[in-house]
Amino acid sequence: MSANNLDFTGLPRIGTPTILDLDDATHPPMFVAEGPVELWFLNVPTRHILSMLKIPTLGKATKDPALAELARRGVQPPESLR
Amino acid sequence: MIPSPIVTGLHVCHDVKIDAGTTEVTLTRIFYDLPSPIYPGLTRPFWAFASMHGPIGIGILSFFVMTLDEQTVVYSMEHPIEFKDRFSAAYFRLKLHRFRFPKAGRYEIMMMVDDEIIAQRTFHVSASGV
Repeated sequence: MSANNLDFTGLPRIGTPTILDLDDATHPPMFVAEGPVELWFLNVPTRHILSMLKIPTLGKATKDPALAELARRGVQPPESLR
Repeated sequence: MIPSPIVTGLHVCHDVKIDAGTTEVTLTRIFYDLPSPIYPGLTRPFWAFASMHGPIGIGILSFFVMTLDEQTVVYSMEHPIEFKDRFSAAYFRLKLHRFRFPKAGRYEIMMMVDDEIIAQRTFHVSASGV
């Protein structure tokens, strides 16, 4: 059988890709960076201002299952990126 | 999920278009450095995109953005994802338009399916504007 005469009819066909289309409006960002926000130009309680502006405030980082999984596996970012 | 999905691309970029008819994908302005306002300023909208294939069935896809130096998670989400068959791709497209980076520096995106790490990607955020 020549290369131009191969029979591919028995092979499975590749289907149309499925598309998972998401948006952070439905999966809101969280802000868990440590430490206070330093807004030196605001001489008023920062948290109150941010609350009025409906901006999420920072809080203490929580233990994340993904990070726990990473630690369990000993996975670290590449040394060159540190 | 066995076997683990194979990710053939995980990118962050400024625009993603998926043709409704052909499902062809166009990624525009893929970046590794993102000039952005820092918290409490909102960053400009950007997209994360990944293409994956391999297993069959439904799994839980997790997506994280974390600081690279402290491994602090600044964004996470999870959503079911279906793999119809082992040869068909599953595209993941996430629009981030309400995002505030807590500081300038290096960030890492990590994707997991059923607690299995399937992709990691880094980028740098530099402070720009307020």
